[in-house]
Amino acid sequence: MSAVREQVTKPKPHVPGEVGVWVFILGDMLIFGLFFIVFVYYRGLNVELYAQSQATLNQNYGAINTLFLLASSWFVAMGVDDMRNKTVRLAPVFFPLAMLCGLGFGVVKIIEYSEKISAGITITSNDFYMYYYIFTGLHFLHVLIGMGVLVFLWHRARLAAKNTLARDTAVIEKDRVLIESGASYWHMVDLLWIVLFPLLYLMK
Amino acid sequence: MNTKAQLFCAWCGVGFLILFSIGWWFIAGYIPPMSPAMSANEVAAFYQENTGLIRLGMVITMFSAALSAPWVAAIAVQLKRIEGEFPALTYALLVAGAVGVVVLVVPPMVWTTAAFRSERDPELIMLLNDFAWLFFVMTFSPFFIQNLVIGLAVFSDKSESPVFPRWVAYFNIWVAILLIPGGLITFFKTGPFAWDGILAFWLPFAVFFGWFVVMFPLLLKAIKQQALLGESE
Amino acid sequence: MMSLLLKPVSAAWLLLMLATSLSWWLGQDHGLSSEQNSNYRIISSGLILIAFIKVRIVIRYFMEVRQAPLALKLVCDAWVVLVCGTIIYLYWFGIAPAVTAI
Repeated sequence: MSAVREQVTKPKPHVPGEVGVWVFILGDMLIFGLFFIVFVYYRGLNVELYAQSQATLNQNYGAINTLFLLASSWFVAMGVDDMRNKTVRLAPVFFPLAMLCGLGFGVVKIIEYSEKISAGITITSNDFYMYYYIFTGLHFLHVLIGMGVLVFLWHRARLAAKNTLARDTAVIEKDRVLIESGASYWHMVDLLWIVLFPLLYLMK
Repeated sequence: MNTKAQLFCAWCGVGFLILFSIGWWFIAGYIPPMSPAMSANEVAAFYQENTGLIRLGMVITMFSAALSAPWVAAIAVQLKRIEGEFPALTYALLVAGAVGVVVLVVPPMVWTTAAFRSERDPELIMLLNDFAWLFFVMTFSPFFIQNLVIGLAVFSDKSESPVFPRWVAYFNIWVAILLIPGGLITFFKTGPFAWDGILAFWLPFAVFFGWFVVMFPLLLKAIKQQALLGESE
Repeated sequence: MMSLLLKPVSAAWLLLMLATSLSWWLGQDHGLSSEQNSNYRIISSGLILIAFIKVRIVIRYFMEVRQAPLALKLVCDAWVVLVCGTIIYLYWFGIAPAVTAI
């Protein structure tokens, strides 16, 4: 039985990672979905205020951050793919690259927050900024946790690469659960920002 | 094997939910939560118009809070099965659970103090009311720790027939995170992050309630599994 | 290296990058003043729609839900449809009073 070779018949459906991580991921998506809806609802009650405040946001920062996270997700996907091989070569490079993108996101975020705060815009400035800080802040927290997850993935990748004897299917399987779970979490962080960007920065 | 004692403790969790709802929600009328934007006179009026019901409701609420103690203990016993001889996470759960009882017991006492002499200066009534609400909704930390250590303990369970299924770990981490928004109420008097807001009150409240509903059958199952394993030895 | 770029997930990634750039461009103020030009509503709705299409691509290709059991596929799709739909509904419903007030 090879988890690596393409099968002629349709591959058996499998849950990426494990069921438990999807309890968390779907749960988190549910909550952020609620956040998005609450935002648009309250926005509808005071469009003028929200539109004015939104104009002070830097769309370029938002877009660059989206590109950073998309790139990082691609690197993670490449790393996950490499970890499925009997010999692992590229994963120990891909995961750090993903981390670099995450770092880029963080730097832009910090610059953005600093600019806003020095301009006197804080969490209690008005309703729009309240949502802006809380949602992007909570998302940023998820990114930071995600960086920890990426460190863990990098660690597993390096262990796998060190194992110069071809890895057997049991080892690949054990890694698969951990790697896919961690990767799925990171992709969730990416997709949440994909919605936050137009919602906060672009939607007029 | 003290299965009966453990089951009793687990059922105390159900008792907590029911009595808390009866006292705080149905009798004292604190659901839906009053707005932090209310004036002192409005707050005082609430206490003056509902004095008897508030007093009665809070006695029941205060009592129900203590039922969360045996509930937490029942979970701790199961965590100890996972951890064995050096149950650090179990101890953390017990300590956090004890503090949790305080967080649930003190606000009813403060609310009932407001109702004790409701003819007082409205500013003083509002002060007591503010304190109780903030203490009640904002102090998410001991509950956060409770859920966190349960999650960590379940993750660490490497046995062949785990005490709790692995997804329970993820579930508890999720619950822990969702209690956090309560911490924001100190910044807002209106909106979704005020103490009556959808994201700072209703969400953590629903999640906390839901956590009991999910954990209770799992806990019963774990206790019964433990009894079966004990008998087969 | 080429083999990596030829994978479906890489094609998905390029598409996502393009969609992001398109959204960025559309979101710029091209001399459209919010109050006067009703096209901005269509554009904004489009931006939200694009966002959720991107989300679905991330779910299916990056998270590999394409190869997951039907139940998971359905739950993920339900989330995309419900959240996107509700946002767009509230966006239009919320706008209406402001427009009629002019």
